Amino acid sequence: MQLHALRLSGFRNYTRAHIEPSPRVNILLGENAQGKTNLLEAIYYLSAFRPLRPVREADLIQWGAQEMRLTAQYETDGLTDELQIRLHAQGKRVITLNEQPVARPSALVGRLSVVCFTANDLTLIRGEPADRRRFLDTEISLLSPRYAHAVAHYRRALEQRNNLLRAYLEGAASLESLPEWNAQLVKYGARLFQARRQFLERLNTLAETTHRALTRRAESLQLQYQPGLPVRAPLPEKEEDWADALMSALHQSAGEELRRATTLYGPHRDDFQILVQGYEARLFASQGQQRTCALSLRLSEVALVESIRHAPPIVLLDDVFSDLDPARRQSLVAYLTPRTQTFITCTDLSAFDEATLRDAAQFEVREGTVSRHA
Amino acid sequence: MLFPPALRQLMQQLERLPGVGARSAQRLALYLIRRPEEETRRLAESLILARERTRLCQRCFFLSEAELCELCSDPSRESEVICVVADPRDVVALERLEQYRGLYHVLHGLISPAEGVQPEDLRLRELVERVRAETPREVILATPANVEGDATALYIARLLKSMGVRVTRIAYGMPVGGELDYADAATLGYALSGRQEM
Ligand SMILES: Nc1ncnc2c1ncn2[C@@H]1O[C@H](COP(=O)(O)OP(=O)(O)OP(=O)(O)O)[C@@H](O)[C@H]1O
Ligand SMILES: [Mg+2]
Ligand SMILES: [Zn+2]
Repeated sequence: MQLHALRLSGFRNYTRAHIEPSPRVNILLGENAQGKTNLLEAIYYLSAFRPLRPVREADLIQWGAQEMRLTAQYETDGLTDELQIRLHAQGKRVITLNEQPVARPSALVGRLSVVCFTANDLTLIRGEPADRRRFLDTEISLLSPRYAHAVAHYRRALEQRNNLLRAYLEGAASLESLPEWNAQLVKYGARLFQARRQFLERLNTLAETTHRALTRRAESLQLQYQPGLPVRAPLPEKEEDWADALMSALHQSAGEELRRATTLYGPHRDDFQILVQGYEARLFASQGQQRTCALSLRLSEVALVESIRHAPPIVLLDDVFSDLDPARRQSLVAYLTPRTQTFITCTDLSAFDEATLRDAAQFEVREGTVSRHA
Repeated sequence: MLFPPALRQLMQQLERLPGVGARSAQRLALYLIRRPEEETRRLAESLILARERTRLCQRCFFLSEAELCELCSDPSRESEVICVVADPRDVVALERLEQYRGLYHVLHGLISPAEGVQPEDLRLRELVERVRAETPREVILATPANVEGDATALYIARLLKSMGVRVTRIAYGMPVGGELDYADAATLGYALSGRQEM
């Protein structure tokens, strides 16, 4: 995966900009509030078709502008694509691939494959189960449109079922259609369980290796899936088995569910545990250890995408060096740089060793402009 | 500065229409009062006429001006096949194909607790009675391919199967979550011919 050229207009604080990155390391250097993260966001948006930060899409348009436009030329599977997104202030979005309009962008999510590290990744370790579920949903969706579809349908089925339980509690409805909502919940729920189990299993194998590399073999890292179901290990293997398990959990908890008017079991109650040296990172790991864990998770994702797509994704690193000691900084850069196109934002160059700096392309970002350093 | 009362009232009425916000209501109202009087009168008349004349067919609940709709009173239609749809627009979409020769049953909605729609709010009791009375050879469920459409289809299948009638669901090769109304003729035709037993 390689980005050859990126053109921005009316995007965030960029009126107009153009960048031709190197196939290896690209350092985006600049003071605070100059547009470094915005540039990463442009690349991310071309991959995921949604903003990197939690804003409405229209907020990506430069303040006062009517339209934003991003155009990327990149190489994937030996082919060169030109992907363009235009977004109007009124909300109309037009995506073209090689100048052909794209009717269903969801099928194109992740075609430009990107893995993004942000300082915010720490919420993976420290945050709520909902943060980790969001991570699972975003990442698996990039790998599988079928999963993204199941997520949307599961959410809707859950909303419908909870509404029915509430209406019943208030005496406003009978439970006549409950079997059908159970069926919908179980159909999409089983898909989520199965995909999440598989994803975490693969990620776990990779996380172990990447974490050892980042910590120079000092620490181990494990991921343990905790499905929102009363099941004990070993976890079900097949989608049908997850379906049976969820259906029987629904039946067993029927009385309690009716009293509380909410769905007590299902992937909306999932979580996964992150263990460093066998202890839960959320509770026991130091600041730097937590930061390293979050990086290892993302790095594993890089490896996972690579094993599925047979080429490494583009890696975006936004302000990730804080809290890391020099040794871990170096391990991170060394781990990524040999084959992977990487974009790293920073406010100074102290995190890089000489060899990295010699090979990297440096860009200076200032007030919504970007220029290459000779 | 406000608009004069009669105009303001018109704007308020228009704003209550689905999909019309305050701004487009103003635009529409200003447009309407600038048109020739004759034209405005005709619009008002057709509004009232459509409202007065249109009712539901007593057999299939499609829109009609008579007791029975055109389809139900057409002797050349096969009355042993009933295609169940959510919305009158779906009937029109399917008829455009000129492929299906049976009759319809319009539910006027889908089961959706989130919108406060329960089974008894749909024309489901009427469907069961109709199937009992007419004993059709087949009931085809053509509700949309989304969560509500699937749940409604499953619910109907459960009701009807105990009555011994053959129940099928149209096969969705069509865009997921797609509505019949938007599906192009080719996918819809395929969906109708490749239906599955429930
Ligand atoms: N829609 C927009 N239109 C114009 N400017 C915007 C828009 N959205 C954000 N900005 C501005 O872009 C500026 C640069 O933001 P960005 O997050 O890229 O900074 P940064 O270079 O990553 O800084 P830091 O080092 O602090 O992370 C911000 O000051 C913000 O006010
Ligand atoms: Mg930033
Ligand atoms: Zn009729």
